[in-house]
Amino acid sequence: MPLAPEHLACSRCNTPIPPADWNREHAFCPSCRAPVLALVFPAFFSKRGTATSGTPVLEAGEASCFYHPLKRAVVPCDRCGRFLCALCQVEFLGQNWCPRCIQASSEKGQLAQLDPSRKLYDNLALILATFPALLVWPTIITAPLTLYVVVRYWRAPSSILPRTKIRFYIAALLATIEIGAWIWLVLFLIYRR
Amino acid sequence: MTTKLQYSRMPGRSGLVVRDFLWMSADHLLSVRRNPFSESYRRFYFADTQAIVVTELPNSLAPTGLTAAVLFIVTAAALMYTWHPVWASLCALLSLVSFFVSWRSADCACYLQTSVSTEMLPSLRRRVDAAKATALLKAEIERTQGSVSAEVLEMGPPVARTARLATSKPALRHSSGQMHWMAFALMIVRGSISAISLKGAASIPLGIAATIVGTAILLLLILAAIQQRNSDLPVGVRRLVYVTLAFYIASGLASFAVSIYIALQLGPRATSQAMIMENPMLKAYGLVDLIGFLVLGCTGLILMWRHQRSVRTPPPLDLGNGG
Ligand SMILES: [Zn+2]
Ligand SMILES: [Zn+2]
Ligand SMILES: [Zn+2]
Repeated sequence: MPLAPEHLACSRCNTPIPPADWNREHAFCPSCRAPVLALVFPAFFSKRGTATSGTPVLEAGEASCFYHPLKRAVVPCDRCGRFLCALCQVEFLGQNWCPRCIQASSEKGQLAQLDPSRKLYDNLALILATFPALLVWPTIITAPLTLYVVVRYWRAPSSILPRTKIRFYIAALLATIEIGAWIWLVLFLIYRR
Repeated sequence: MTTKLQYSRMPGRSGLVVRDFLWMSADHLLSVRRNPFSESYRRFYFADTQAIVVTELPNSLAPTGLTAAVLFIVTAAALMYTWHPVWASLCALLSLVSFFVSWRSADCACYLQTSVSTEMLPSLRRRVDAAKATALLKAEIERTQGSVSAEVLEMGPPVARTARLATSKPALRHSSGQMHWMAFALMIVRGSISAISLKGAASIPLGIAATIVGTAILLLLILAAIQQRNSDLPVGVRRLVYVTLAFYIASGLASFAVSIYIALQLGPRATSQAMIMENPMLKAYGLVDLIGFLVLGCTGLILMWRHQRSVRTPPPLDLGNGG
């Protein structure tokens, strides 16, 4: 039986939870008797807002949208200042932005508000500095590689969550020690006699 | 211009290598999936959130894990009493692992519904965490949207709604399982090396080869474990990867324990290599290791072969002429 999307379902058996049990503590699934808490919010009952397509057409003497010369401008973009019509105006962080500014910022990886993912170069450096050291000999390659990663990605955008640079520092320290050990070994072998 | 958002951490976590967390900002919930090299984010805005459903699930793993923990502790005590400190500590360790598994196993599921999708929040898999997190979320969402009045609630679900994407499980990625093939094949190679060593042809180059193959298998298994999440690989194969990883860890611990045991037993008398190699403990360990690698490797290859065959031959078309 396909489930009507406007239902809330028990995650265990997929049976719809009766509306009488919504927003109620100590409710149970009618089928499998699993304790269920179904919280519903006003957005569940409101229809999705229809897109504002009724943009006023430009009349003589009025400013026009930068992207649609025939539409009337309603606001300027808070970043680049271009005039925007109601369709182009995107509310973003409590400001009005144009689609192009949002796209440009997100491509540069500057927008923590839009990024779907981030690389963790500090973890990469730390893994390069530690795991190969267990086998000792790979560090002749991985230690310089670690230093390269640290320098190359020091300023690269990291996690959008709070995060310190401590992993970079530890990785750089370990890599330096590993390189130092190799240099010491070489010198030791040369000057042994 | 870089805008840093203020995020605060929500209760709940899941996973060991690939981990899930929830963070909250002023206007949205951030679901974070972190593997060692990157983080991916999903945002659920408070204004768009329609519903949150938390279902308590029976926790079948907890009793098993607890039983295992108790059994291991009793065994450890018995071994300690008969003065086998190495095996006793190994059992104590296994008891801790079982206890941890039973303590952390999932006992509820939490789904968040918006107008376009219904998403599971993987980090809310424990009732305590889910209760705390939903209370925080409810407060934030109701601050944004207000709360549903009793009259509206009585009216029931809205009837005529705009078409929505059907509630669906996340789409499965197709995976050729290359890592799995290589790992299982190498395990047979590793098993064969053990077999040759056990026949008495143990040598330093053979030991080095075993170490290199072993490291490669471990890396491939870890990659396979990461890659197989949300993939179309059969459950059997996916479980086998975890079982093999567990076997690997157990084997590593056992080898450590055996070498300490031999060192304690022989002490300074351990001068010749043959003397060590002839030790019955080492022989027994080698045999278990050999059988483990061969059985797991063969099972893996058979399962992978069956999976590939089933993917290549489409299921027969049911034209409904049966009645
Ligand atoms: Zn149910
Ligand atoms: Zn702009
Ligand atoms: Zn426009």
